[in-house]
Amino acid sequence: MRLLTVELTRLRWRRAVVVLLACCVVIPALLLLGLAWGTRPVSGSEIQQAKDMVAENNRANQEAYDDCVAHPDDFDIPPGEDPAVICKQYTGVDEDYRWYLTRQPLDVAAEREGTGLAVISLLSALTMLIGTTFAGHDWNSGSMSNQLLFEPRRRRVWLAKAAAVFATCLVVSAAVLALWWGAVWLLAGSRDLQASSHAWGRIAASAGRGSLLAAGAAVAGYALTMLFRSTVATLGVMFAVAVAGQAVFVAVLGDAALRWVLPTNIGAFLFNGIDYYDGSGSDQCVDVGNGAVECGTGMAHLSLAFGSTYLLVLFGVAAALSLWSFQRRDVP
Amino acid sequence: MSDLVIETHGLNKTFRTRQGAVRVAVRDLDLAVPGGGVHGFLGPNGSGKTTTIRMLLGLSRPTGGTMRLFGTEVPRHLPDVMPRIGAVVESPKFSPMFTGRQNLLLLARSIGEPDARVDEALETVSLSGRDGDRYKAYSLGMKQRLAIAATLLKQPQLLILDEPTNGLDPAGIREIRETIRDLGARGVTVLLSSHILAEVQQVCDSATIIGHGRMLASGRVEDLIGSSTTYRVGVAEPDEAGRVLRAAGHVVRREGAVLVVDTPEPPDRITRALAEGGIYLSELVPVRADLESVFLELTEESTLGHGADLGARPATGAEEVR
Repeated sequence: MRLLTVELTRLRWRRAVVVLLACCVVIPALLLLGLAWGTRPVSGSEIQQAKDMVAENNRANQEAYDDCVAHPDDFDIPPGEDPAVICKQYTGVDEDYRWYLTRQPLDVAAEREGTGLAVISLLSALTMLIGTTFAGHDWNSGSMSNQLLFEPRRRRVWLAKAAAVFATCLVVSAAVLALWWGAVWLLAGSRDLQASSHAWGRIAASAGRGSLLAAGAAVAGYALTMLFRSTVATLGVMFAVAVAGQAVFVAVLGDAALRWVLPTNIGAFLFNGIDYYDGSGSDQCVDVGNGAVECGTGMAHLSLAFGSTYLLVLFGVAAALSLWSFQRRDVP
Repeated sequence: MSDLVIETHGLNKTFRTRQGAVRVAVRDLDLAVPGGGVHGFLGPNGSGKTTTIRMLLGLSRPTGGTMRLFGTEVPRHLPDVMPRIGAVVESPKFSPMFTGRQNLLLLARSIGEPDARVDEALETVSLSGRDGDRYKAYSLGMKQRLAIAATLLKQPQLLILDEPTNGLDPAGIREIRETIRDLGARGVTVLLSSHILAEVQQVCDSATIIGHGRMLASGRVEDLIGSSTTYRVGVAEPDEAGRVLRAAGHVVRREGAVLVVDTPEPPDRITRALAEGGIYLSELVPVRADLESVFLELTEESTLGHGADLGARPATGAEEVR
């Protein structure tokens, strides 16, 4: 407990960590402003503007139509055709002002996989950086050896640091997600757009798992940095795995490999299972009678259990390797 | 139960280089540091001093051999004895963005020492006025002093200091040496690894000299120096005097008009032998050997592949085996 308190203090005193934690609050706040602005109700002046535009367009169209009917030869109306019908097709009339009001209203349930996912992704990236920079600084400054001169039990040191990172990032992520959805709730309430309690239940579950994911990402970043002993090396490996690794995986194994890539499993974990395209069965069609055939959609389902197990195994392997390496290797 | 504070037996450490070669850093090192006083740990660069210290402190794993601190086997039971040990290994290593005080607070709290202990330690090394500055803004001397302050947080019974006066100004060096002597006089065992031979000679009661990972000599500093005491002897008949002294068992060589006598015996043996031969002295000057000459002699012999006196072992120099 004493070591945990020390590591929490060390974490709190690290300026880079404080900046990243501030980003965990500020960036979602900006996203929220964007969401509120992007889904704001249509104002009376916007409706009037759209109606004016439609009236102008309709007047221009009517003039073109009248001209077309009056001079069908100028419009290459084929002989024998009724100009009134053909000109209607050429010029078009009767626009609706609602066509020009494309802004969608706030849909709370849909935001779970929209901005809600964006916030969780952002939090996970930032907390992973927190874990990485926290451990990386100890190695870069060489202060790890000094710490071990005071507490030589390396497993305790590793666990205390990991616990500090996990606890801090879990609390911050949970708080930010609670604030986010609280703000969305207030926003929806102010616009009389409340979602069902079922939708809120799904949102709460996703937010809870999102907090766990962000805290887990932080410990994963920490564990990898304790393994590689370098912030840059960890970020390089993460980038390679996230971008090149996934692309190569799918290129070699095809769409079926999507089951094994990180984003799909994260989606399954966050959203209580996920449907994804793996191409299976899309070329298998069956005769359903009356000359009609029905083909497979090529979609597959990945369950929450599978996604959770996948993430736990990855996390466990990284943590075990890191701890083993820290206990065995010489400390510079 | 041994009275030795530090003991190693057959300690070995080998590294594998990136090219695949095996580099021997420490070979069959037997080190014995008794409790109390200041013990010098001397050796040229790359001789294995820091590697030995790092192994003792659990930062590096030995390839072979055994180590004991306060009679307790380490690294297995290192946590049991670590609260009694303060150490500075190589250059001071702290978080550069934290203040000196913050760095010490974290270390003190990790061992359950009250924050007031930090103030005392900072006061001891005269850093109280600058404890709020970031570590990265410290001069090298201030960093060294902070590192020493960190060792004092534990109120150690064994202090292991690796080049502690590096980068200090003359006043700082004197302060640190006085602190080390004072700690030694108060019963703290200090292992002082240093390249500065005069420092070891001034500060240490005993010393161990290593070269190429092997122990070359160990003992009280006076004994290490005294074993090769030399005298300049001026006489009217140097050839006859040389014959008399050789017959008495002394090692003698002639340098111009004077004789140079190497002997472990006290000087009155020289005067008596000459007087008994009817030769009278005009000059008898002890040319005191210093630790530097002993050190250079031993390490040179180590490099050349010869064993040295004073308990030295045959040395073959650093070995690299592919």
